[in-house]
Amino acid sequence: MTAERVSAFADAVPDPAGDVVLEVEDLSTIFHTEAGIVHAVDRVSFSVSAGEVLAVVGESGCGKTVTALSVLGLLPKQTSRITSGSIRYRGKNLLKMHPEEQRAIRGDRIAMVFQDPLTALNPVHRVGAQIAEQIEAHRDVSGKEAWRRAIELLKLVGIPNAEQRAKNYPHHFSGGMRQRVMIAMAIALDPELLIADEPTTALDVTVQAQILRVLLDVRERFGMAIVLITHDLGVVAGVADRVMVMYAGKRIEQADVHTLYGNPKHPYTWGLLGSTTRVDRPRLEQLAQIPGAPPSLLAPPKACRFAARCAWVQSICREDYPELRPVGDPDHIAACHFADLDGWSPSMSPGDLTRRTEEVP
Amino acid sequence: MPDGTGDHPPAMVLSPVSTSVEAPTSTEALGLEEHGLSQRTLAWRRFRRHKLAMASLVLLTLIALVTIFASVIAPYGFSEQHLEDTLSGPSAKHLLGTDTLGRDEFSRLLYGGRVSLLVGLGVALSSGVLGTLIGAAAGFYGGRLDNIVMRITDLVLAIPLLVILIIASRVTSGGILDIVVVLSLFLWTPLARIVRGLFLSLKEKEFIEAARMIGASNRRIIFRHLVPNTLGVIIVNVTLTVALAILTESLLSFLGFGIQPPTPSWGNMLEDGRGLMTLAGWLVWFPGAAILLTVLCVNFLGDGLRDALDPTQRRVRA
Amino acid sequence: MLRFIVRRALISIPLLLVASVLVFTVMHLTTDPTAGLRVNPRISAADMQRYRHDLGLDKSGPAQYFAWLGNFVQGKWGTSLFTNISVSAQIREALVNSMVLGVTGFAIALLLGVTIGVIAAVRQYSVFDYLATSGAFVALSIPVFWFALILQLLFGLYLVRWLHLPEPIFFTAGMVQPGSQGFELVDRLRHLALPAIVLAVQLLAVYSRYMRASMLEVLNSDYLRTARAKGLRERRVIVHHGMRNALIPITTQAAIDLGGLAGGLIATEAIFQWPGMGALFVRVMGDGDYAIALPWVMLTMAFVIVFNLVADILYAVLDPRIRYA
Repeated sequence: MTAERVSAFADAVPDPAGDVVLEVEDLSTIFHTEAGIVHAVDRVSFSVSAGEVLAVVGESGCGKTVTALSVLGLLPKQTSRITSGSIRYRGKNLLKMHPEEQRAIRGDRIAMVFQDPLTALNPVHRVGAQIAEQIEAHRDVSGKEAWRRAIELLKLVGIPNAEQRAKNYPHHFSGGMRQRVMIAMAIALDPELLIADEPTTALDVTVQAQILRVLLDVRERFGMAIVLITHDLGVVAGVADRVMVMYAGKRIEQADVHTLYGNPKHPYTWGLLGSTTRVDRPRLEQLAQIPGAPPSLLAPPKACRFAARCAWVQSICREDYPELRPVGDPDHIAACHFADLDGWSPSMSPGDLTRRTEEVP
Repeated sequence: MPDGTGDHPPAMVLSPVSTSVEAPTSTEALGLEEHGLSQRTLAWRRFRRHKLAMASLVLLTLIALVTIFASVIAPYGFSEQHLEDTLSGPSAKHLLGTDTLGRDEFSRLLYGGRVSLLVGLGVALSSGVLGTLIGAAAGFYGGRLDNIVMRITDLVLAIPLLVILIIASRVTSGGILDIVVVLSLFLWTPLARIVRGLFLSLKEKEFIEAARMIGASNRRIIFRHLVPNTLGVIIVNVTLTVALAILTESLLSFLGFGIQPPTPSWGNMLEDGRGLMTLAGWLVWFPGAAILLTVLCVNFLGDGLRDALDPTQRRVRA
Repeated sequence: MLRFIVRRALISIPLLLVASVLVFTVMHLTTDPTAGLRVNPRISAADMQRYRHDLGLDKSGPAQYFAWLGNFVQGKWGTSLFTNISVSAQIREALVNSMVLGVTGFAIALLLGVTIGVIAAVRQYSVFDYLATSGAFVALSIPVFWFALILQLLFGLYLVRWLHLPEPIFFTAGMVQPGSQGFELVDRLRHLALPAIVLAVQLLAVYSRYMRASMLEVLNSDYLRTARAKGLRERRVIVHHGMRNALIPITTQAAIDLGGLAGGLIATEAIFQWPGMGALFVRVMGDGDYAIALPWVMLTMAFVIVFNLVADILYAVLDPRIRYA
């Protein structure tokens, strides 16, 4: 939108230029709970460039949502704290900004789509009003203009009969439609970065595909960067450019999508990929499971966090933390001691690995 | 509702509501896997953390014991008159003073406590059972039974409680049993509504469908599945009804429609003392404080029970 | 919506009728309006007959009920069983007095309660919150009549004594100074203060807790997080999104409580000798004067029913998810 910004900090918002939109470095977030301090995100780094889709994958509790909330400054103030790291949007560190500066960026330059559109939309306000409100908060436009723009956006995301439906309340829409509304709201001001937290998890499979298409369409149109948080590897395969795998609050593997699916180097990733059905592979007799559960984040293990569940675990895994290391392909990194080992793949048996490591003095 | 005798048991409204925690909440992530601990043990642990509730439990037990053994502890009988000491303040001979007839306030307080607690417990238990049964039947069987029950509760709830009780007092004798019966007859309604609502919603849940599918009989479904899921709410409600019953009885007795003298109840002791309160303040301070203390403890207890038995609540403190 | 209202009204009528029958029966069986006369030796048997006939007491129970009912719905409420004062006049006057007291206490409680609740929720676990919670607990556990007595002692005795006042700051009994004529605002207010405070404190405790709980739920809701994610100003988030939703349960509860004011002030009025509906009821129940008691019950029930309906309508207006078939 080209209308003038209303924020007092309008000048603080950088002009879109350059490629890297978001750069997160060494981010750590903790929560205070009755049981103690939970290290939800532990020194995670990543970056996203304009126009690309970065998927963040992992199981529940691995820290992906908390990471997203940290970026947007939506963590509950009383119970959480960002203890280290920087979050740079176009070079400016969001964490060091004045709250009003942050507010100017939130919703305007960086937007978020949440998981459950039913609870994420205010049930007592009309849908059109909720979109218009966001526009009016950041731009100097009249109510009428904002409403008009809201209807336009609804059309854009594929909601039929937009003029009428803008006057409806959230509960009048089906799940998929509601999610479209959320997306319309998020893209209202042409943000450079859209963070989508499990946008399709609450939806039917067929609707999922539609929503993903909307997201991609929007990316095409506006060239925005998208961070897609999900635990569904099927979704990732169809949509992502790069993938980042998280486990127990840490980033454990990252690569572009083809490399990750074709040549993953972390046993957890193997487990994830092995536990989904894939059309291009022969039918499995049993879906592989990763036995056990993630470690407690109250007192995370000092060494490899996956060690307790890893079939290939060696003594070094329990002693030293496997820092992220490059693995052959550019931009492919993995947090495993053996990631750059020759022939490292699921077909190597744990026995072989032990022998190999023993050989090296 | 005014006059403290409203339909919502007061402390139902007192507990902080669950906060949706952003922190990783799977029990594994929190390291709170408690293998092999029964629901009961977990509930007890949660209860123990609520300091005020624990303290209240202790205090209430104390109060109960003291009133049960009133005949042993009280130095005098409750209608024993010491005409030489009328209207005397607290002293060594009469710990809490005497009233116009020279009756020892301390002894009366103890015996009165017995009455108030008996009424409180009696009403809470009987209205609890009544309300649960009626509400369960209405919620489970639905249809016409439900309709009838709803109409009856509408009727009962449409007339202010105190009004009903005062009218009913015209046919009661003023004894403890009568009062308990009358109060129970009308205090079961809120619980019945709650249980009915719970049963209605639980009935539709999948695990009940599953139970039916494997051939469980209605009786089994009710007792094995529905009741355990509502027990927590019922217990909390019954506890809070004790507070409501004590307050209501004392109000009723205060107005002259409840426990009739010479049986002392904290309520009618307050009525006795009211006219003389400028001269003999002790006649008003002590019974009132006794009610306040007891009801406060019961409310704290109810709050603690709710924390312990309502697993959907999680509190995260900074 | 209209059908809903009509349906509710229709259901309420049998409710009122059943209640009237029950109350009538109890009262009729336990009251003898001629009791006072019987002890008077100068009343002859014939006089007694005539008296009974005038009051309609020589008819059968059910006949008397229907006679009463017929008159009642026509608005002819007659006179008291024991005096000649018109029932409707008495009730009307009492109602007005109760409304004055009730609405004042209610308004104070609602305004303060909502404010305290919101602040306590926004500053959860702070000192303010802690104090508000403790205060509410105590206010809900304290027997109202005892609290009233304490206030009476405080204002009527102790403050006068300690501060050497000629008169209490707030009066402890009655609605006006005995013997005064006309309407003097300050005097009325000084009489209104204590009973209004007692009433307000009870309601305040409930409203502040309700508001706090409701506000907390809203503050932790997903849509509030979305509102923040949209970059809205914090004030707009709290008011337009937070309070707009949090006020819904309290509004309906307040409407219901308003309905309960007609008959719910019994204890307060008794202690402060406030000549309202509550005091009237206690008095007529002492005698058993059901010529007044019956209309009294009908009226208070009607209040409750009407305001319950208002509450349901309000709920539907405020929350678009609720729509009545």
